[in-house]
Amino acid sequence: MTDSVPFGTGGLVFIGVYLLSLIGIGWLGKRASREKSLRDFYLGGKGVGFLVLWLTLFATQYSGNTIIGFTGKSARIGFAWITAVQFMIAIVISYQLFAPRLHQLAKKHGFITPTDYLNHRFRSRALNLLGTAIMVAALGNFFLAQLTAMGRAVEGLTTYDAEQAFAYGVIGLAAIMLIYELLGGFRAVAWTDVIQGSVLALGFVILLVLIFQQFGSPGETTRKLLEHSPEKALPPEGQLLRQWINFLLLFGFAGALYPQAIQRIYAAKSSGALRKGLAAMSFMPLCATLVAILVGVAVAAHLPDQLDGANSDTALTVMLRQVAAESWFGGLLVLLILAAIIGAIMSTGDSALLSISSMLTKDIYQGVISPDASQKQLTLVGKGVSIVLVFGLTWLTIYLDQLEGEITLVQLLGMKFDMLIQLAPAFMIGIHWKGMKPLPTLLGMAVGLVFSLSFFWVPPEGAGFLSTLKTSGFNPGLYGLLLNLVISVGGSWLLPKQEIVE
Amino acid sequence: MQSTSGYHSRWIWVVYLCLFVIAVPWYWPADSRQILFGFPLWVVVSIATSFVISCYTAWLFLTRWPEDSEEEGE
Repeated sequence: MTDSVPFGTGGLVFIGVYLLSLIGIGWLGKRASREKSLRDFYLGGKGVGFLVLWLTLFATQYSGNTIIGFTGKSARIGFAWITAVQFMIAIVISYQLFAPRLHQLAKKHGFITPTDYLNHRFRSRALNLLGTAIMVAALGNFFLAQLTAMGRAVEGLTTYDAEQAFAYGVIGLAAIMLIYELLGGFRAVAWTDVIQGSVLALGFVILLVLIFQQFGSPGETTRKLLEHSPEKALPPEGQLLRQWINFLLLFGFAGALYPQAIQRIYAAKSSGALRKGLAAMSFMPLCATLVAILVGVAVAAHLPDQLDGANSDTALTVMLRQVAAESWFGGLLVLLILAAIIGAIMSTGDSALLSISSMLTKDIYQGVISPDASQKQLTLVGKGVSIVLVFGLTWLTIYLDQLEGEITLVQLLGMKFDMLIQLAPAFMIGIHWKGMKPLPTLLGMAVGLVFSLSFFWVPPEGAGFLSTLKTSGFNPGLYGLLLNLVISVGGSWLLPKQEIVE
Repeated sequence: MQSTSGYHSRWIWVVYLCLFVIAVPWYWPADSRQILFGFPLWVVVSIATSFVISCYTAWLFLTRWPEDSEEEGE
């Protein structure tokens, strides 16, 4: 196993204690619970203040993908991945479009899920269901990715058989996540995010120091890149440039619409906490994303031979292995970074799990199946849903890992941003413009969604118009959004004014 | 809609557009090899502008957040 970074007993004990502390926090969250209600379980009752909000926003939004995936990507395409810093800022900017008003409405009307807003605004059951379906599908895929990342992290950590390590890693970490979540709900998730967010921040600081310590000055890095891989150091052009803009738009809008992020808007104790939290989040891309990019670029410049062409996700492992081999202190630093990675993955995964559970319980179970259920019953159902979700998706994760090929449905759900962005008109325009009507909004959302997903089957080599669009460097979701806007905005404008019945 | 707070003012978005036009490196010659502080110059400009965007965004959140109002009878 050349990709592993083996640790002694000490290292595993450290990780073990860290993970058990999360369960301890889950128990504390249970003790702080005021009542058995959906509000208490999914939003922590009256909500959280600035510091907790900031750290939970940070830990939730920055997943293992930021550390592992982004370092791999920047090792592959070089400085052109700086687009990631900008689209992470773009996500925060998007909140200006709807967060203030949404927070106000949420406090006034007691929203728990994003669909609660859709229901309040449009009063259309079909729209509620479509919105919920999009969010559950996108988030389900996202949660699957976190579980897979957990397995990969443990796989890389040990020298055991890869498939076994993966399976045990997924099962073990998923079990811990489920336990503290069942115990303490949103409080457990947010408070563990405080720890995991802090460790994550520490991880990025250590990574930044290590880049300079291992690879010397940036000048050396740039010079080497220009020598053997100039395309990674020169300005992007053509397709790469179009993709830069594509990601800005796609992730900028869709990233702000993640249900667990919307629920954090609801969970802010006050507008003061929310505005300060979002102001702080404006700087996180420069502190976190940029560091990950620099790691990948440095590894690409100085250790290009060690990068496995097929899987440059190991760019980070390459650097960590080097650091760990140098000294016991290096080993300690790598251990902290691995704790940060595990924390990043779990803190993102637990919010996704809680959010899916809330939507299935409130929007589907209470909304459609059993509208008269009591809060106590609903909370129990919510916990049951979480258990089923973790069992089901853990099994699916392990099954997919052992599968040789890929499943179409899973690949389809990988288009999560293309799906989520179809919610943008309803949330970002509908919240301000009273003239936006339910039927055109629903139609726009549906057409945008179907059009985007249909691209899955469009052959890139074809001569048709759709094939051209597919290879244009812009995601199908953006084209779908254009259609969506024409129908939802155009249709609302053209339809006669409806009387709003309260 | 308040005129002195909130994010409806078109000037806010005009400024954002200008900043992103500078931040996205579409205007650099393909073989630009100038270096500043050890990094390619286009990278420095892109990151520096990103920092300005972050500052602008934070400032907007802190100073232009709309006050809670009773404008709608919902």
